[in-house]
Amino acid sequence: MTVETDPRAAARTAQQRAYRDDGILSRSLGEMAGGRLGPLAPTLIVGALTVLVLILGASGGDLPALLAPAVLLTLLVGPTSTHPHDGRLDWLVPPVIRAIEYGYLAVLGFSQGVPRPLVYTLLAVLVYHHYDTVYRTRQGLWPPDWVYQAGLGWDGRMLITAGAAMIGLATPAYAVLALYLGVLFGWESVRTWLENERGGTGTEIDLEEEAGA
Amino acid sequence: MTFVVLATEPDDPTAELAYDDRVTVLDRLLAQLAAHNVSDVRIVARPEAAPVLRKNGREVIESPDLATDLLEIGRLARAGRELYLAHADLVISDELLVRLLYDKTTTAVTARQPVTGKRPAVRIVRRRVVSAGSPFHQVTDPDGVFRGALKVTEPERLADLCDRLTMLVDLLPRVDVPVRRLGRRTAEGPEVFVDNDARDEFDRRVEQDAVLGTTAPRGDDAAGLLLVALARSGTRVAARNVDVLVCERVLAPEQADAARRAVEAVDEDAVRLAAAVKSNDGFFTTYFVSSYSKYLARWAARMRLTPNMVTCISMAIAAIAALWFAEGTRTGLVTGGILLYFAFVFDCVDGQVARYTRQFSTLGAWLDATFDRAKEYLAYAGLAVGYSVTHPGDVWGLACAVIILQTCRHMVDFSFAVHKGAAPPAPIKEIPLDVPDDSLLDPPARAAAARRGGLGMLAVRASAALERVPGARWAKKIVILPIGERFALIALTAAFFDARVTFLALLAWGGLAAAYTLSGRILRSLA
Repeated sequence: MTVETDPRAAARTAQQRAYRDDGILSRSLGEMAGGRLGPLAPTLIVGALTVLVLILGASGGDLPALLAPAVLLTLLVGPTSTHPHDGRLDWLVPPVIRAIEYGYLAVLGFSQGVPRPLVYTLLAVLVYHHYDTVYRTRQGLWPPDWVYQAGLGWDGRMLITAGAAMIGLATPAYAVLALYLGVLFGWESVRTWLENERGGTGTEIDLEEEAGA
Repeated sequence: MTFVVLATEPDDPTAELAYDDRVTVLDRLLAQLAAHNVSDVRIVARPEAAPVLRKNGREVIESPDLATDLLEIGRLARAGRELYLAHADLVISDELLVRLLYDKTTTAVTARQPVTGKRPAVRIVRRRVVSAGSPFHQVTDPDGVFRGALKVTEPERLADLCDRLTMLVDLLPRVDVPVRRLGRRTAEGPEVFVDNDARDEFDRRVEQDAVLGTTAPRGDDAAGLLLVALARSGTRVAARNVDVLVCERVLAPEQADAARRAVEAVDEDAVRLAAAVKSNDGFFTTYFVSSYSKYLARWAARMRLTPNMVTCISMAIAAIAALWFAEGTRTGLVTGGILLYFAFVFDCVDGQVARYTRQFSTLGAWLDATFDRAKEYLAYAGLAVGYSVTHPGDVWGLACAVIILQTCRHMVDFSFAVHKGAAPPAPIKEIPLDVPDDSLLDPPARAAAARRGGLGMLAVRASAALERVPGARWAKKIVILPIGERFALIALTAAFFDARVTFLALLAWGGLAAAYTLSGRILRSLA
């Protein structure tokens, strides 16, 4: 681990790591790498490979090809999870991880015949979790760490769905994941809402400042 | 909080000028403070004025000179509560006083206007007072004046400054020329014009009243001097522009009259309502929603609806819209489109109610943002269901593509926002209090720092140049497909065509927006 001296820098790193939403596997790989591996290049490489593999694999229904992005992303991007993300373009990493994860789950689900509304539902649950992470941490309401672990992280979710697809259980896997994660994230949010109903001066974040608010 | 009122004009106290038939200027100020539950009000007055003020039943701290004023203020600041300073002859609009009370940082009430020497000059850069003038301190290229009300949220620092000034004040030489003009606009980097808010504020600069502000105060100005001290000590002093409101010291009977007329001429409720509308919204929001939604906000506030209730109303309307979309028929799509538009209207109203009634809460900010996303993605789901019902194929694939694209665009915004906070705030230069001028603020430009090259800076410059093209500001906002445009696009394409067209339109426009913002931000990051 790099030693953070500036508390503001540490806070930014914590924020980017929360946005990454790493799972246990990815975090342990990161611990081994000790935060020395820069995240940008592996993320972009895996991103490009994912696009390629998904186009090829989805058209041929080729399962090993469909497993590849999940493994690649975990092996290459997982070890960068402890990096401080302070490079000039490291802000690209969390959104690219999101694009890979969502795109992967969508293509895998469609190619394995998972009911299409179910794919959308699982995506909606994940999207909810990721927005929620941003909106609540901005208000200083950090979710407890077990929520991230129980949420499996992108690596956990991708590997589980890929594994389930290998043994022909894609649809049950999507259904169980959507239900489990939906209850987990939803319940955790509502609990925090109720706890924070009183008090606090909300910082008004100017959403229009952000391109597409 | 402690509110210190300074009655330090010599001879007849100007604080006792008649505001109207019933009350004096000071009566009015004290009544305003009482109305806003400011209980700890201290009056610091010259001994000759004290009997008059006491006659009206007020407690007065007597202080014979400026050094003692500072000593007393320092003593009050040591109590550790945030401290306000205002002159006893100040006429301030209630709305402006409330804004100052709600400000979270050290703030001075200022006005962008020509400097005539009757009021303390200040130089404002990006809503911050970087230099202020006093009888002992010169300001370079001032672009505004201090209007006599100051809020300090760092009382310990203020107390220290008071101590320093108490010892120093009798030794400070008076400056002959209060203003030093170099005739250049300082700090004019390309970024200056990117800050639309600052420019709007600049455009709204106040007109000089014919009577007000035409007399220079004869007495001491501890508030002005402390503003100088704060600005020079590296404290971030926010400049709260008077806007169209009134904040003036009155030093003669006709000025008290004029100030009252000026206060009464402003419809403060309308000003407050106008301020509840965000100034930098997108095109659709500004022209098709905010033009009237503020009246809905006022109505909601009068019905005692909280912002969170309005958020929930908006969410409920959006849910009904999604149900109509899910029906898939033309009627369903048109009804859904109309409802979605009103869901968006109420989405704007909740923030306006919060700003209008000044109720901000952590939960509100969080709920509002989360429900915004929920509304949109629920509408996508409704549209996809409706399409499957009425068409042979389905559009779930497109729906997934749209939700992924939109979410990733937001994630880029979020991550980039974190990164943007990475640049440490430029340190505020400190200037010793016993130096009459503030030339240390403007070091001679170094050739090396003058121009940075590279593709990144080119992008920054191009963006700034574009700001100056009429209409380009709106074009830049529209191209990124902000929330208003997005809701309008969904509603219109759904009502007139079908879900497939909606999703394709969102993908095309959203893709363009993603390419535009990503390329711009990557170049900026490399600059």
